Amino acid sequence: MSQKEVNGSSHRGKVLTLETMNQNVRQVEYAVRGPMVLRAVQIEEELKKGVKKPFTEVIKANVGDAHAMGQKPITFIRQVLALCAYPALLEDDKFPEDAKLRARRILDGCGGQSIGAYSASQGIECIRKDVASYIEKRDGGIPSNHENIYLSTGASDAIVTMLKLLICGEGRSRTGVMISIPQYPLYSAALTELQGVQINYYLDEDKCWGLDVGELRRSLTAAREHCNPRALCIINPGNPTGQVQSRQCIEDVIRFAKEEGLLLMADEVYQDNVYAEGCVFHSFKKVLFEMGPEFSSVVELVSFHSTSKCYMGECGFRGGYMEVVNLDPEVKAQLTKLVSVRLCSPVSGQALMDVVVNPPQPGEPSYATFTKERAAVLADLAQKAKLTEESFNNVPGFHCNPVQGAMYTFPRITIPQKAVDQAKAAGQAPDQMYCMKLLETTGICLVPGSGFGQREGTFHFRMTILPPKEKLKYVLEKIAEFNAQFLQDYS
Amino acid sequence: MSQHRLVNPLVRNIRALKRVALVRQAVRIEEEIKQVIASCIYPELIDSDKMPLDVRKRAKTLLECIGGSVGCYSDTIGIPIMRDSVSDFLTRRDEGVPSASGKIFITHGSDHGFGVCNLGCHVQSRESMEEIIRFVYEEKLLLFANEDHQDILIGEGCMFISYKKVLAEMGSPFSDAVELASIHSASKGFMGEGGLHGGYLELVNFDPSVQIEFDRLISLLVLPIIGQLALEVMLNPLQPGEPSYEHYQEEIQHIRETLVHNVTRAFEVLDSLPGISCEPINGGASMFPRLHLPHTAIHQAKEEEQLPDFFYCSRLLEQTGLCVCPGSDLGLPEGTYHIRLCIMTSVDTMEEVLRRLGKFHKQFMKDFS
Repeated sequence: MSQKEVNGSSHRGKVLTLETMNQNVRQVEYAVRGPMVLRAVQIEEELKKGVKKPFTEVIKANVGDAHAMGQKPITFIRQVLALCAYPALLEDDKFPEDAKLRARRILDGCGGQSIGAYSASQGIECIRKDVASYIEKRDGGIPSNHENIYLSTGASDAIVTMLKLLICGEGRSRTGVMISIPQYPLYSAALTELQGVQINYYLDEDKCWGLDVGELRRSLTAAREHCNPRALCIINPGNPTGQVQSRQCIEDVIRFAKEEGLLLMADEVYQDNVYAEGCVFHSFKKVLFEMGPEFSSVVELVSFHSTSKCYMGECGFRGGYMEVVNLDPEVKAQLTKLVSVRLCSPVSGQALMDVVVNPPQPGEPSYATFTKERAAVLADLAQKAKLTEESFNNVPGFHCNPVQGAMYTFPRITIPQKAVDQAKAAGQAPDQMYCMKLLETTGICLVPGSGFGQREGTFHFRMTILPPKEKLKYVLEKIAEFNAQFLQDYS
Repeated sequence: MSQHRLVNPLVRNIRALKRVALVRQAVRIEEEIKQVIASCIYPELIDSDKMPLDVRKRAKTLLECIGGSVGCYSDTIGIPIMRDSVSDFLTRRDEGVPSASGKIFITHGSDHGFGVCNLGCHVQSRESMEEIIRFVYEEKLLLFANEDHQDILIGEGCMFISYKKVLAEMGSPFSDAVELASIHSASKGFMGEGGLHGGYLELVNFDPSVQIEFDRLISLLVLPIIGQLALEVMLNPLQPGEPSYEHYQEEIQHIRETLVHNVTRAFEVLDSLPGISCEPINGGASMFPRLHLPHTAIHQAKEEEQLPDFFYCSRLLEQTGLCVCPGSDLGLPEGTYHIRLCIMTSVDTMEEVLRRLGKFHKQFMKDFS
């Protein structure tokens, strides 16, 4: 048969089947919303139908969804956004002047004074200017140009956009991207979909998930045998691991990137979520510029931020930005073109980002309340981080590193050989089997460590620290109980 | 990465659309929809008697369905109640042709996932749609129907029929074989809420295991909740008897009249000018006047290494501040020249647009005669 005849075959199967679809998509895995969550949703449905279970509700400690877990939104933020959504409220004297000021500024930047209009593809200019000012202030005055800011649909969108630009070449010259293990699986999923080469570098669990340049070098050298490494991704504070990298570490990474000709992608969405004593968030941009022109005029850096985490937790709004530093101007033009194809990021998310970078200042009417609410959210998270670490370190077979930042704990767990064998026979990762049994027994939904990557032979799970304190205590107790039973059953 | 050639060539090959963000006076969103969204964002408003009762009730119900806060992540394929709303809407719209919420995916705007660019100025006849369906069936093609201008019907006696309905009514073998994906959004239509990013996609006759893969792919993305709220209110407008209903209907009627007026005026003004001709449109958000450019203009454009309609649009922008889209960006046939003009604007703005365009065009034809 000719190709034409084959293609026009009269056999009436589907046009689009598992075999004829994009095979890269079939390989994509995103454990955070993977099989565990599907089963959790099914269980919720069963509970609604009155099926008897050893628990009355499913607790979704798998995804960093703060508001879904009861965290309260910040009043000021919601006031400004309501004013933007329905500008008639600008006449309402129940809304404070400082909220109205910001809403007016945002609406002035919108087409037709409406957040319903499409914006410029790179994002509303006055908001990008506010983002640039915020970055300058945060980084002790190091200049930031609003033309280097791109507002995005959460940080995820910007990260995938950069990967799209980077990935090219064939065979041995195919682009490789270095990602930490453990990592947030957006990176691995995007690399799979875009057919980039994933280059793993391992964080050191024994050193509180620290990053060692020797390990970076080892990983890069090995990768050069089969691909063209071009970028290094780092998440700081870390997800799922929660470490806050030291300044020294950040300098080492920058030096390494310069020596090896790598573009740096710094995912800093948890930059306000820092809890441990002695830990401080250092932005990659700040450190880069403080290292002097030898680095700051050369190293290509893209930093990402989002409105979904920190003290805001506004996941549903899809606000985010990236700042590009030292990008070739022609490449930047390509980037600008690429983002324009999807029109713009949601304007309500852009508006939210504006409030985040332009919060109430001392002297303004909302300052006291805003500061109090913000501090309360972060203090609550810090307490829960400590509680979780202490609790888990009292569970036999668990080893839990301090939750220095972010929103998650990633304890190493012990799975007896008998259970490992059973899991493997069923074609399941052992920690997936553990988490599935935990879900069925307690209703607690976690994500197995295999979804994030881990050293061969080790097992983990990721749990969020977001549930309200009493519920968190309950969760910690139940996990401890389950674990004891599990170890007994498989001894 | 500092070398341009090391940028992904697939990205380099994307043709940059020469349009600047269309200067588009957004058709004002209906008051009630804004009130519902604001109340969901700042629930204190639900307790305030400044908002109409029906608005407050609706906001309360929606908040309960979305986990209590617009700040939560939504389910990756859309909040279940929204998907039910979409499938109810579609069943009503298509006069009983069933739609299952399991086959509905909420998206962020109609550009999400498909990037189909549809000229949207004509309402296809049923015969034409049946021809297309027969064609895709014979040639084993997937059918993507971008129907996001379905509310905007301008021509007398024009009716929108969905591809899904036509497909269902054609019966076997088409109705159970043709794989159809229909998309719609809150960006266009009467809402014009492009910035809110709400839309939906309905899959018909897709292989169930492919649908599972689709779910998984979409799980990487998260949908803006505000966009889903906008979509929900668009599909479930206020009902007779509800306090805000009259006002809402008035607003819709006003928008409809404005669009008809704009199209009529544009046709009157432009079709009477030499070197420009218009087809009447009966639906959609844009018109596509055709330019009959003098040879000297075409020659000059080529000297400046520009496509002739881009050349025209560029001078129009420089000289009048009016920004329109050249037809060459939209894949119109080579050797023909068009501009795309958005009609979703206020009457006054339209008048000003036509004034500037008319004046520029006359001068242009004179300069290049």
